[in-house]
Amino acid sequence: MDFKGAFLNLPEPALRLLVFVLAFLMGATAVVFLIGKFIPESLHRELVDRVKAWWIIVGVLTLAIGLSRELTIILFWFISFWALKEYFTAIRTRPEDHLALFVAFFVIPTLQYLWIWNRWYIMFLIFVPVYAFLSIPFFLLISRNPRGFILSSARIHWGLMAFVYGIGHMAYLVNLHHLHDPDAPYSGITLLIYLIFVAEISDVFQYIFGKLFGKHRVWPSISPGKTWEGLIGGGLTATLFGYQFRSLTPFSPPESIFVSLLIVILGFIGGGVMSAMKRDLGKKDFGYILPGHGGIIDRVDSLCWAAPIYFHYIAYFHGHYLLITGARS
Amino acid sequence: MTMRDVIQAAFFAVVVRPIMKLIVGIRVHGREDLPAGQFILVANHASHLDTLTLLSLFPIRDLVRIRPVAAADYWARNPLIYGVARLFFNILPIPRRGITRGNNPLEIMARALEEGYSLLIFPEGTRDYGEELGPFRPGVAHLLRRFPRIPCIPVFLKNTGRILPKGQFLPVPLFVDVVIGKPIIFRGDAQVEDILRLLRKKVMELSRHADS
Repeated sequence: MDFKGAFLNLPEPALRLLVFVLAFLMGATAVVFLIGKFIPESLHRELVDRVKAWWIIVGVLTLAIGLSRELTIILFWFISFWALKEYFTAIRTRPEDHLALFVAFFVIPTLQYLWIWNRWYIMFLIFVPVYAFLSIPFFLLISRNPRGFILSSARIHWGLMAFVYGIGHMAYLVNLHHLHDPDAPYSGITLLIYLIFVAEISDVFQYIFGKLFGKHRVWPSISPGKTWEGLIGGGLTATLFGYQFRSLTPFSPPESIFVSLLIVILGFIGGGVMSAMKRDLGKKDFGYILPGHGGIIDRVDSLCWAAPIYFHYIAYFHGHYLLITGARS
Repeated sequence: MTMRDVIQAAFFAVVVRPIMKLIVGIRVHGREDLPAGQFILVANHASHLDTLTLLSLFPIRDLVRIRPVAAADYWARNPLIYGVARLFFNILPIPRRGITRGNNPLEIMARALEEGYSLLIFPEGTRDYGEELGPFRPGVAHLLRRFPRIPCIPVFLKNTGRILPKGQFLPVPLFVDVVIGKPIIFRGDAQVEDILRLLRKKVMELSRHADS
């Protein structure tokens, strides 16, 4: 089938993947509709909510990524903003943190996404770990209260690293292009789609395998939902799909298996980290932007961990023929 | 509909609602307990954001019949502030000190209720207590005794004092949790102290609900 230029300006492998995802979602919708009579009411409602949320996620991502680079960057800026909202609402803050929190909400994410927009690679790399790290304690100094100073600095910077720096790596992917071959079937956009696809397939199938066969918990004291059966079943399914759709990437066949496993394992760790945080705070989830999915953080936790490593893997091993630095460096 | 009503409706539709949806993000628990008719809404107070949050719970066409009760020494301290607060929020200014027979706040609120308005009241009478719940001032209890047919809705607002505390002008956009309690009907012969104690206890209970 030739989809080229049919709709949206996505490359052909990405359109194939989109058709697959839409078919998969329609299948899932039909299955959830049909099994409604045979499963408990509460589980059915949860499944209906999850499928609905996936339609929304796929729709929003497809429109943003398919329409323009700029729209994609704005979407990820908004995801960072919303994740920070959930994070800072959930953790304890002091009244003295007010100014530093304002900077963490509005100034730092806006600048970080501006560097991404302008393809300023070096600044994108160092801004949060260096400049945000140094400036947040400065804004806390203004309050002149040393009690809780270290905790406040650490909490604020932790949120910026996870939700601005980590999520920002997904947005920066859209800047990547092939240096010599403008007709290459892959680009930053397809690499971004590949990352989200493998990570989310892994999440979805971990949930399904966990529900069907889950017995042995990986971290019983941290997350009751994460089981070895789910991890292995979901991870292998995601790796299989990652191998199948490797034409979205420059990866060789064995390499695509390696990278998919990398995304699966890092995503699993990211999910575990957020579960530990929720346990620490005594919360079940971070909010309810999407029915059945908790908050944004509950959806992007695996990507926060997988995205930076995936990005730097590509930059290190494939950076010599992909445009990364852009006009400024 | 007067010109003022139209301006308020437009202001809420174009400015307040989008900000509340996209930047603040209100999470409402118990919206179904908001009554359709006249009410006296009682909430804790920590921020200027409280009034905005409460007003944005209602459909825009209902705003014309709701008046937030506001301290005259603050909100009517000069004609410009009073004009803006009246135009956009339809505040009902009452004096906090220097009360005489002629400017009795109870009479001002009673008149508004008789005219059919619903009232938003912060019985702490100040934002000074922040995220803590301060003592309630007795005016609201006198009012509820006098209008036993009007239901009282207890509401707890969480995080508004962290978002825009007293003395700050830069907002930190955390989520606001609004917990709406079941309407309470007080009897005309109830004791003022009992009403106050019960109301404060209700708001406290709602605050625990917001934590879960």
